[in-house]
Amino acid sequence: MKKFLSILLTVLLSFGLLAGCKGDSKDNSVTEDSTTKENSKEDMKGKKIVVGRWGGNDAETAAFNQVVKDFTEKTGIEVEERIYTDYNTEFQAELIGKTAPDVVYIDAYMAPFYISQGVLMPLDEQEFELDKFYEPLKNAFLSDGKYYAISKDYSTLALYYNKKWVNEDDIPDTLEELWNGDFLTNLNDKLPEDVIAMTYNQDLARNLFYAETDGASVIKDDIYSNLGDSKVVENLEPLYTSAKEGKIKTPADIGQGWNGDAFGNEKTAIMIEGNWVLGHLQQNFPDVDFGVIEIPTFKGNRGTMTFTVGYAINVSTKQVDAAKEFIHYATGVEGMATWSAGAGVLPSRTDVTESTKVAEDLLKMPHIKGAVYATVWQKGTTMDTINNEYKNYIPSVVSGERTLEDALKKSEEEANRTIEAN
Amino acid sequence: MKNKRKKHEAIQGIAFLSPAIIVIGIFIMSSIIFALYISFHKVNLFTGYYEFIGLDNYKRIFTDTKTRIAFINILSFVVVVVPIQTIIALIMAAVLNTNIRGKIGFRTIYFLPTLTSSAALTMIFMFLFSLDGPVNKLAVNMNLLSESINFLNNPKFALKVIMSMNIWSTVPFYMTIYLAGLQEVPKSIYEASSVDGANGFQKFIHVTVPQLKPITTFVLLMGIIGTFQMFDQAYIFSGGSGGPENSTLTVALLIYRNAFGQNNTMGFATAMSIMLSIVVFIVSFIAQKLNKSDSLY
Amino acid sequence: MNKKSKKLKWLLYAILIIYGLVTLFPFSWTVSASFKSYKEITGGGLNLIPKQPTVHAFKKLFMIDPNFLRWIFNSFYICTLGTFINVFLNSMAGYSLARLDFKGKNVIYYGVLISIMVPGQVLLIPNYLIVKSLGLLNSYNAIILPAAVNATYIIMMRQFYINFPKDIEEAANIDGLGRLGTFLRVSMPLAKPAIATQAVFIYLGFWNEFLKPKLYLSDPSKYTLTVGIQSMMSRYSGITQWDEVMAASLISLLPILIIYIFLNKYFMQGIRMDGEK
Repeated sequence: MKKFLSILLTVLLSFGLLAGCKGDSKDNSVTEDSTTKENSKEDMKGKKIVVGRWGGNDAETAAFNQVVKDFTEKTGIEVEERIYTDYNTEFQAELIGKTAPDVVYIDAYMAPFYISQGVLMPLDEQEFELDKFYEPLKNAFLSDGKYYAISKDYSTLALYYNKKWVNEDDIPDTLEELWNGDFLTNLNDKLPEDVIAMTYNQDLARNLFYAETDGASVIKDDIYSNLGDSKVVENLEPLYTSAKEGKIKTPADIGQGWNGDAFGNEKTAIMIEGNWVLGHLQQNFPDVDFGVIEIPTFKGNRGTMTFTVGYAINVSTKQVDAAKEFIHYATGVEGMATWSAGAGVLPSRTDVTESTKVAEDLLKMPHIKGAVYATVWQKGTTMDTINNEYKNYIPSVVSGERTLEDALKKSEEEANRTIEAN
Repeated sequence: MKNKRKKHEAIQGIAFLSPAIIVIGIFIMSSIIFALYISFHKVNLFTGYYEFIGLDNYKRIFTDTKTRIAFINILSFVVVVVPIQTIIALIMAAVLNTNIRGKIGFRTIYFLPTLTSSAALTMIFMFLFSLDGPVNKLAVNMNLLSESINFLNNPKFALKVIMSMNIWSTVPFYMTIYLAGLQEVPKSIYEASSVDGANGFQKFIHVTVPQLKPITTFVLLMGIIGTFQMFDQAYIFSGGSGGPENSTLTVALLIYRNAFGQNNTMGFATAMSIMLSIVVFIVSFIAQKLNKSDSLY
Repeated sequence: MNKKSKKLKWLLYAILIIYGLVTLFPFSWTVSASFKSYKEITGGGLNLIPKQPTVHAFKKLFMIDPNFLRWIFNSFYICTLGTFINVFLNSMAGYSLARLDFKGKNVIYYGVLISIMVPGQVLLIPNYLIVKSLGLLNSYNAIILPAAVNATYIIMMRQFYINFPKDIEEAANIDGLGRLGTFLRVSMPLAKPAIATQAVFIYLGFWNEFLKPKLYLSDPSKYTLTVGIQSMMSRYSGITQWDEVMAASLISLLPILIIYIFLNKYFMQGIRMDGEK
């Protein structure tokens, strides 16, 4: 009997403890559910949508809140935000669990994947005034003639130099000259011992635009790696010759996390970076006096990379109209002006570029110029695999263990094996 | 009479275990069964598409060179890390259990790596081992190296740097466990061996080590399971690529890459996970057997 | 004490101190970094005393979100409750696996072991679907219930109880305590070092748990401290604001350090089987 009691007690104890923590949480999830599901046709007022995004710096957070506030005042639609930290993991889990937000940030790079999974709603070209957007940015979300997200802003790469050591007029006009000429060697001689002339990245996200110069392509048959192609090898040769000679180094080589820190700490005199570094330098390294110019031409062409993020609608949303209304506002003239001015980012619309006079900013101007001729960092659904193998084999080129051709061929083979198996 | 007692004990045993069985059953076992199911399919979780493909995902594990490299890497990682971390943890615990001054202070200091965030740790290590970093400078000054080595970008060293980082951060956990285990060792046994004229080292070998066997089993099991699943550090170091030259490619990294991101190959990822679990199971089983007697009584 | 053993003692201290430096340094660096400017942290100096100490990062953290204090409360609530439940349930389960004899015990033991052998990455989505289907999303239960027991510490307690002297229990049994009574009044208290160890690491685990709370809790006022700070600081473009990260890690490790120091006396309070307590 005693033993029976003790067992009963054990069970009760464990359940009691588990039940102890219930209470307050239940009701909340219920109310949230019912409000998002509610769908009254007549009026937008009182409707609520969830917008999924990832966090930015303080300026971005403030600008986003301002856009939301203005939007709610105007339309009566309430906006709840959901902030991702591990975007792909969290968003994918929510999509599968059918709990994803109504409107969500989509990185152009991931867009082909999400589009191919059929989780995004196609958006009308006229309704969202896509003719006002920069061509590369608009097309970043294009698939089979349909647009699946509207670019909210963008970044491009430009060349940054430290005015303490570098004179703008001395910088060569071509990348070939910059990497393979005497400029960097001379600069290196002049610099203090712990400062190098230039940093670079072993990443297709940064190298793609010159890898693909003159009609070369890193992808063949839409999905396969083509890195071993003789044209691609030839295009990448100047960069890696320079790296092999030790004229340029990666930030990691000099113990720095990324270009922005290497440049801010004055460990490098020149870097090629995106405009997100502007805020970073101003906030954390206010003493560095620097200038920005467009990236020198390569084989006679202007080129740069552009990175863009757009707003998309979750195909299973119950709030189609309100969601469209939000994107319409946030990527419209007014919303985008508020957002880009507040967050210090570049507006994806040509008319907003003009109205906000952002191009008058000398530091931003070289980035804006790039918007027209830039290569979008978006290459189908196999780019992850291709780029991973690129990053995997390039270090051995710099250390001299492989030739560039050998490394690129090897990376092509490995990537294609993986792609084939998928 | 005896039967009745046995029955009682069985009921008690199950009752004591029932909360654990319920929680693990609902939240973990059912997930594992689901994963097992997925591993025999080609799936698209977004659209709910399932196509039975039998053992194809498993067959791929054996033909895929990347997977083979990842398994070899992680095996070498386990073989190096587990014994070293176990031995250091055991020795440090035994030392801290003697009558030395400042025990509590040392114990607290040795616990600190557990509290150092892995992001911060990775940053420190990447700086320490960078081309112009302190490790290189020291080694060159002491003539151990003729010129700086790019540890992080060199296939020969990258995994070793991660190994040392891993050992550094896991030792405190096992050391604390061993310390707790040492409190169970009866003082009388030590006293008896003192009478027999055993010195500190002999006592360690003949009393401490055998007495701690059950704890060592635990340390080995957890060490094996934990290191086989190593992910974070490899991911941060290589930026997710597993490079240079696949030298930091781990199975968990490959699983992650196949499960999330642009690859929608959940079936293959789960098959790889199941395979990894089987390997872990076999290795832990062997380790447990090598460590022999679980029970002292 | 003879010369040889004195020398040995010095060697011992030397090892202890060197190892201590190895563990102390990165930690101290993190602590000092939280009082440095971003520039100084990334500048690559290994100095432990900030050149220009600043509490800028802490100020920013405390103002990061109006929910900050709420997050601290949430963290304490979840961690304390979760640890309390775990310590009881894990110890009970471990005890049963070690000391009680019944059919199927080994199957259960291996089941528990297997449950931690499958890599979490592929279980994340199934877990999410289960939590969702039980209607737990956006509640603390989503964090506490699935982690109400922890297989690692069940195994640990099993290994501890295997070694446990039977005679004490038998004595208690004769005294008329039932199995549960014996467990609660004798077996649990005598395993204080193991339980203290378990408690610290479970607390630490709950405290640092990131991805699951992030996934399960969508309402920012329900976030734990770790989740709240991380999500407010997240930058997709990959810029880590190191000064804030360091300050945040200092804030989040302090409670555990305090708990560790507080529990320290229990770590050394074992059963002395020779009767001396």
